[in-house]
Amino acid sequence: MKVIDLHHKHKSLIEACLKNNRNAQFQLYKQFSAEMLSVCRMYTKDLHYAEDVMSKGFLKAFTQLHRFQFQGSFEGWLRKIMTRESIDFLRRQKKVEFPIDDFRIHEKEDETEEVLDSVRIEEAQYLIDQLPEGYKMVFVMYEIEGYRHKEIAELLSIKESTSKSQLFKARKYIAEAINSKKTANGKSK
Amino acid sequence: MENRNNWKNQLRNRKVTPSDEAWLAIEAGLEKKNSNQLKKKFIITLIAASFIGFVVFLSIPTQTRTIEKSNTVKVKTPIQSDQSVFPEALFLEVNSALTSADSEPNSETQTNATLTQSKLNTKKEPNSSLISVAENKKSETLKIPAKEEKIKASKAAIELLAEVEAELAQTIEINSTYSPDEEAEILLAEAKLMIQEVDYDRLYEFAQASDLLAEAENNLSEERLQGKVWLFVQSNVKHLETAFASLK
Repeated sequence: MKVIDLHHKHKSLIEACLKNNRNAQFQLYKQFSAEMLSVCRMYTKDLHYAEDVMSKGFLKAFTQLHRFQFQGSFEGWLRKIMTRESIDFLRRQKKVEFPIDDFRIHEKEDETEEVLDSVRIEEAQYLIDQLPEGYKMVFVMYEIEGYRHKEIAELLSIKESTSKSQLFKARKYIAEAINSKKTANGKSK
Repeated sequence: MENRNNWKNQLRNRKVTPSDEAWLAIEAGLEKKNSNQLKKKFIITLIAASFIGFVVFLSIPTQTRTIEKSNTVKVKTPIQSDQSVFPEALFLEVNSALTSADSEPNSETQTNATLTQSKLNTKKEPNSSLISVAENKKSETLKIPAKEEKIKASKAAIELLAEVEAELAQTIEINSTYSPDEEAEILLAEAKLMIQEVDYDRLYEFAQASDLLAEAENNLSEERLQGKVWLFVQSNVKHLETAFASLK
């Protein structure tokens, strides 16, 4: 039986990058740049800004590469860097706001999921782009990147309850947007 | 369930190809970081080197007062810029032969050497008192046998240095209080003292009477005398001629 060490798949390339081998760095960038730009794009409306964020993320990754201990996937490590870089970018833009609500959240996850399942990827990205920055960050981190509320709270320096409420509102916002679009389409037909 | 997570997976696995500029920006950033690291390394090594140099500089004056003993006993002290007025007094070189001969020069070369040394001292430092102190101490150090412990010699040298430095400081203070005229008078008095101290007998040894006589005789030889008288008469005649011409 052949055992494939997935975590150490890029080991030689990473080791070469650690020696400041520019060719290896370019190879690594070529392998992951498209996926990482997608991550940055989810948080950032403008593709040009997303590219800037990705470049900074890669620069950070190359300079901090010695911290990668080969204990998890390299892609996951890189994704985390990109997420943090995107959050930092949005914070620098001072667009992030987390309105505090005291109302109790009665999430009906299935309902929003059903609504979202019907949309295509381009539509989903469009709807995410329409979200306010605070909602967007929590929504992308939770729904797509798979972070937990506790992790999100730590990363964004907010309360766990705030993260939950932001997610609830984001879902509601998207569901409403889809429903209104559907009704508009029905009327036009 | 698969359908439910479809949009999430699609978004997660989506690929957006970046432009070429993105890599150029990363490359530029990496180059900049590398140059910064080099600069940092250079600065760190520079600081370390200067620190080491400073430590070495501090350690040298206390350790390297070298005392060498073979045929000669040398006492060297580092020349400091503030006290460079009197470098000859701080550097003593004593021949072991001199210890037995009581500073009386045996040959012409030795006497010339001592005379030039004294000339240098008088040129650079007119305070003869300092020179006398240095010479006194020199004679003290001469008494130290060459084969005795080095420590004694070094201690003596350090004491001598301290005394010379103290006296130098005093003279500097005194000089600063006097006006230029007063200072000139003091220097004149010191010079007179020095002239008085000069051992004329030694000079007479070099200027022998027979040689001087021979030189005088040479100048007063007949041919020369006649020539000189003739030239004197000629010049006076010319003067007279011009004087008469002007009267007419």
